[in-house]
Amino acid sequence: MWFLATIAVAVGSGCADAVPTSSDGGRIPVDAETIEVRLPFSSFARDYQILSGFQSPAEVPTLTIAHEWAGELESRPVIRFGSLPDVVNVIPPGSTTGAQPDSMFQPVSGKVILRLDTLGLGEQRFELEADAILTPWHSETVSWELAADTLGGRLPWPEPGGGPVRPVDSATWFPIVADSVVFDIDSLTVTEWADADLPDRGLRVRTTTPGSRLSVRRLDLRVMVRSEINPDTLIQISANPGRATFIYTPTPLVSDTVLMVGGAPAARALFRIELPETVDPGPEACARVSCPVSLSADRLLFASLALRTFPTLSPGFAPVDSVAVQVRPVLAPPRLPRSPLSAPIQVAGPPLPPEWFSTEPQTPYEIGMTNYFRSLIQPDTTRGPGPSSTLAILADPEPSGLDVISFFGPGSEAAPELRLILTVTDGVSIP
Amino acid sequence: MSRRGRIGAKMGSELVRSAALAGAIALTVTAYPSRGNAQSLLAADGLGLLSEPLDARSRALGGAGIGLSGSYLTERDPAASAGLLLSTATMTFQTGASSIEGGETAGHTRFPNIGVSYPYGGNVFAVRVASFLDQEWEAVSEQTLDIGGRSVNSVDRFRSTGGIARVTVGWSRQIVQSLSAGVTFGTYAGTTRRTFSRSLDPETVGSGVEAFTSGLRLQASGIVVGAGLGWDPIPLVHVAGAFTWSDDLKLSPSEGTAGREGVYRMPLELRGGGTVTLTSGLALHLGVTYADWSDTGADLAVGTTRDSAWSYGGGLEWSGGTLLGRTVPIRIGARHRDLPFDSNGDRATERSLSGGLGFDLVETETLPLARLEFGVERGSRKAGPLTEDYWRTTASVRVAAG
Repeated sequence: MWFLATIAVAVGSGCADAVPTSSDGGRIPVDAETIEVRLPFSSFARDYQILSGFQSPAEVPTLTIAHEWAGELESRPVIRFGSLPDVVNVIPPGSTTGAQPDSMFQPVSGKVILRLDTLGLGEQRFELEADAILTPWHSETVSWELAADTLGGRLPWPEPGGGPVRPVDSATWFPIVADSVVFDIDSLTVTEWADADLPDRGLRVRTTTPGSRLSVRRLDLRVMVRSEINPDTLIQISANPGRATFIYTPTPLVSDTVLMVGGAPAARALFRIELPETVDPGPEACARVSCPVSLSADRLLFASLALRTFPTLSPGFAPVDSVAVQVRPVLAPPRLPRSPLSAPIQVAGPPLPPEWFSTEPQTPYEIGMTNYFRSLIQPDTTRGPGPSSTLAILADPEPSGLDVISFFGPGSEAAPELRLILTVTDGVSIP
Repeated sequence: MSRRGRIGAKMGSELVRSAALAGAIALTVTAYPSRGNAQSLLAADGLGLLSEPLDARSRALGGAGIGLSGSYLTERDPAASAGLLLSTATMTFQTGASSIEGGETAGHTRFPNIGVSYPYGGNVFAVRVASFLDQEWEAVSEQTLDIGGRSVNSVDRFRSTGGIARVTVGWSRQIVQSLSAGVTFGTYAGTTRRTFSRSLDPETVGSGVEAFTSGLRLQASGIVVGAGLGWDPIPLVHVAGAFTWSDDLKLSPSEGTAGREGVYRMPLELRGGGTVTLTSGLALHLGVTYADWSDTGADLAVGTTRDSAWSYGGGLEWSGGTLLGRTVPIRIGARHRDLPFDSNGDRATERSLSGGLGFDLVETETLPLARLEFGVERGSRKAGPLTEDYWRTTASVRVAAG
């Protein structure tokens, strides 16, 4: 027993080894060649299409206010506030027992506070207007032309853009002075907005300053109410969170030769991967390896979708901030556009700067997807079926705003390519 | 009470305590100051670095593991186990470090010789595991590749791990008082994994670039047969001779790995050695081995071999010293060895000076029941421009029970 224990300890003590290592590459008994192959889009992709309508502006975390931005974009937030709290706690006159709930309070006035993004705005001034919406509207489907677009029917605005409206207040905003704008709201309007049973209640905000585009980070409705228990007391309360979205015009232009993603509702580029069994790396590489080269997972070191940026077709939708894209397999291609998507497969890289889609077009951008292509070529059957061969390129997050990013698409002068780096060997030899 | 009965009565707790103590001491000594067997870049050549299954006593005496006085259990001397009257287990533990000129220091551990014997009816049956070829080495090359018109930094790495051993069963017997014989029969065993990888710089290729890897796992097989004689022509002289014949060594790709089978002819290995008692307590030991590796060289995909590879050495053993009432033999030795596989076309040799001690932890009037041996070597290997200096420490533990 002791002898065996000694052996066990001895074996354990010998685990930390250092292998003698030579820096002489000539000792490596493997002849390996690494080559690059660029496959044109037509040789690996099928069923290319751009699908739009994913998500809605209501999902965008920021609201956009724009007027004649890039000469074309109009955007107006429309907000439906939540109801006011059911009760306020008030100390009755002469009471020594503390506050009592008061559900019969009356709104006296209110304020809408907009917190805006001041980044890059400088010393400009902006004229802003707050209006009360007078037409019933549906926050999930509202658009510039339609107040509602549901299964129950399509209801156009009497005036495109959310009108007609009742002016409530206006303000001049200097970004260099403050990051917020306050609109005063009268008691009648506050009472209307607080009534959840009124389908036409809501606030529309617009700017009348040409060439402006603003982002609303936060929006609050604060209401002064008079207590019935103690009429001499005014109390400020905040409305519960409601639904906010924005309506805009025009609709971004699309083209068959432009790969376009983003916007709200968002556009996605979809195509199916159909890899060839062999690839031809060109005469220079074929001088080093036997051609054509069989495409196998173990040979694949790198695979990326090589794109070149394209100026956004509708200038009003050109990105104003960095944007990111993601690539996700489509889990049920026959069910498109309603198919769920799998997890992103691309290697996360830095976001794309906005100038790539305006002043610096044709900038190369690669989306690395090596592991996906390895799995596609040789699925790991122990983990279930292989990945879907249909891919969707979309904005990250989706929707992130009005920004639309574009790349040269199939059939264009700088169409997407699949860049592959392969290592070819005869395998590891015996001694 | 019979002789075996008296021996058995003396064993008991003292033996097991001593065995544990021996193991602990062996570990302590061999684990310090360096870790690792004297590994070598020469393992990259041919079939690897020949790793002789010598115990600590043979190492200390510069010997070939044959012709030592007394009875012991090694694959190198099949007849030497004929005198083991008790069931015996032995294990050799080896560590060391090689300093490669212009490179780093590499270390490793090995168990080059493990054996168990059982005496029955005047015969001694044994099972042995003996090291044979060390194939642990690595080569790393940094380079710049032209990939698609871009210059890309890459790192190629080739790593070979594992080794080949011989697993044998043996029989030995004292034919007459002065003559003993032994035979062994067994097989090659062990696995070698050869892995190549190429890593590209993601800065120039792109995010998500993966390393290229390709591997081959080889399983060793092949029949090994050995035989030997030990003879005491006069009371003060002991000589022994042995040979090992081997069928082809086969390296077959394991299931799931691609590649072709390698078949290598192995040389007939001849060994001889002897011990002469010069004075009371002082003995001279000499040993030599010979093998012709030319056929093996013809079967290699890459590399060349020597036609004749000699190994010879010798040393002195003084048994007059005692420590705490126990006999403590003191040994010194020197050795030269031709390595069979050339390194980039250059002949490779190994030379060493050695020393060591032995402790009989438990002994009867005539038999050691627990023995601990140490051997330390300082040596160098040379092959053209390649020079390696190494320290190698070997400890052997032997316990017997009946």
